[in-house]
Amino acid sequence: MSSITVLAIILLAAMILAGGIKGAYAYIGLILNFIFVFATGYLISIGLSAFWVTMVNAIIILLITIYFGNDQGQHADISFIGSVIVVLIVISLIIPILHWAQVQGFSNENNDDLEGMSLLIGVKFLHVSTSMIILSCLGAVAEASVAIATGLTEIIEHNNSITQKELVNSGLHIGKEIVGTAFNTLFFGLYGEILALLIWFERLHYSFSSVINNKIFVSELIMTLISSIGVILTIPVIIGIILYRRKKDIL
Amino acid sequence: MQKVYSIIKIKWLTIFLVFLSGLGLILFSHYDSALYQQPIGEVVSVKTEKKQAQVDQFQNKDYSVNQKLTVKILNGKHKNQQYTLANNYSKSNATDLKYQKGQKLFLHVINQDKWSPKNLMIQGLKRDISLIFLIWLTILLILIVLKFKGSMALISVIVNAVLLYVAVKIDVITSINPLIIFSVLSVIFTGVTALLIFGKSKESMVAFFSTVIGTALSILISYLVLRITNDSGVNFEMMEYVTQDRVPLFFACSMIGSLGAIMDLSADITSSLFEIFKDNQNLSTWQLFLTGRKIGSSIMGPLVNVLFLIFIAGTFPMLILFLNNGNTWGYTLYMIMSLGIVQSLISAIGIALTVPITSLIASLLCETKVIK
Repeated sequence: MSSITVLAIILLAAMILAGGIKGAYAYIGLILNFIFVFATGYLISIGLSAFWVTMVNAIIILLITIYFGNDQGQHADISFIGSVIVVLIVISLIIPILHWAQVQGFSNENNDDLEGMSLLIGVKFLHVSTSMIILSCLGAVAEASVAIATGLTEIIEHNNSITQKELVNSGLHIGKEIVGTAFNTLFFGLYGEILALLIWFERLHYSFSSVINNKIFVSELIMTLISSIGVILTIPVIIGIILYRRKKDIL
Repeated sequence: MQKVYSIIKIKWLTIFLVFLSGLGLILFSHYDSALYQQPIGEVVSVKTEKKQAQVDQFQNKDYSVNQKLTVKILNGKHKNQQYTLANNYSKSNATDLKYQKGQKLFLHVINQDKWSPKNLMIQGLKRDISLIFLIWLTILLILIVLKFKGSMALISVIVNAVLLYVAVKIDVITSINPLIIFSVLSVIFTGVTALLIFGKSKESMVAFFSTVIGTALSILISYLVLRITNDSGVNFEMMEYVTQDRVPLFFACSMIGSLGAIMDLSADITSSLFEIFKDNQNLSTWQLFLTGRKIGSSIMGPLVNVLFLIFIAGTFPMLILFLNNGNTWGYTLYMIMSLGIVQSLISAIGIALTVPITSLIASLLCETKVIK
């Protein structure tokens, strides 16, 4: 058996141990997400519009992450709408930033891996980078919006007479904790991603200035910062949706 | 609910100051060329020649374009001199770039004594301003939305980055196995972050030990699995930026990468359980354990997804290049994505195992008196 199969079986066992049937659902959700991420890459490689492929798959991935195996209801709808809004805002930030920083494609550090490959593949790597950064922030945005939406709808259920102002304060209070935890996840994820690269820089005596202008380093940092911005924006967006719904008496 | 006690109380005035200093910093980095040793040139005019169609051996249609860039030197002895340099770019921009007027480029001088267009090479784009802008925007948004309640999150990120840098230095200077160096670092990371979140308390102890045990278990299990199955289906050869023994480095990366998520999870379960116990002292250890498991299992799924999307999306450029170089799905999965998949699996196993581990330790320790 291949190592991946064995590890995947162990993961299934661990997730069932941790969450029972809910764990099994989360596991299937993970596999579905993998299929859609890979499909995004495949469809872009055959020449379909990277933007639309990414948009459609991003929405599917958000649907899976938010609805699959979680308790459905008001809060799930709110988190989904909130996530889509946040992702749209984030995209309008990603596009100019990537045009500005020009971090697409590969750098000198990749030369060994590129040996013997044709680089003239006709797919714009700027679009590939955009797609990569959009996909990488989905998980964090979905997690944050589910947490805030669930917290706030619970508060409303317990105390229906809560004022809008108190609701905003509770939302910010929950948001504060979300940001703290999400930042750890995102930045340690980044540290794990760039550890080998940092050792490379240090070993080959890169200067500080060449590090902060390095294509890969800047690209990885942009990825993490964009996800962080997505998480932060989730707080006002979700609070806003809930306030709006209460005003309209939907909630 | 988790409690983050913000030590610092800062008001709107400070946010305003951060805003101003950020603007200052961005303006400053706009004119910072003098600080760089390396020559920097600003593109003052561009002459673009006609597109030339290119078809590679896999029938990919691309084009290449020659550019003549007139570049004004911004720093050093040759400041304000202009040179005309050649650049070639393709539609795909895999390793090349299309330069535009106003962009600043790093130049490499082949022979310092002879400054001529032939001796000057374009090395790359100056990207520091865009990076500084995005960092500043992130900090500003945290401050506006959370009014410095989020300052602890920032402090934790910075402290951990400094620690990481020290560990990288140690790894380069000494020949100690990187897995050992970064395991020690992970323990320190966990301790520091637990203290930042909970202060000196019983919760800190619980979060610390469950994180360390959860991470260690997942690394140990995955290491054994890879050894027993002889790494079959996993391609360590394609690991990028490797300057030393691959396997220990890979595990070090996986460990650090999953640590944040595991810490968050155990901190969440711990604080919730302690809170619940405070309200209802009659709960038995078993009931507390089940409650912890329930809380953990609802966070676990999204958390696993966060890391998975980060690790897998990172392989995207290589994935697309590989698929377009006449490789099949299966081979591309093996060559490009297997490492990312294993890394995601290792972190997911760690996250899943942390749920029962934290619930167990927290439910056992809830009832003991506070150790100080």
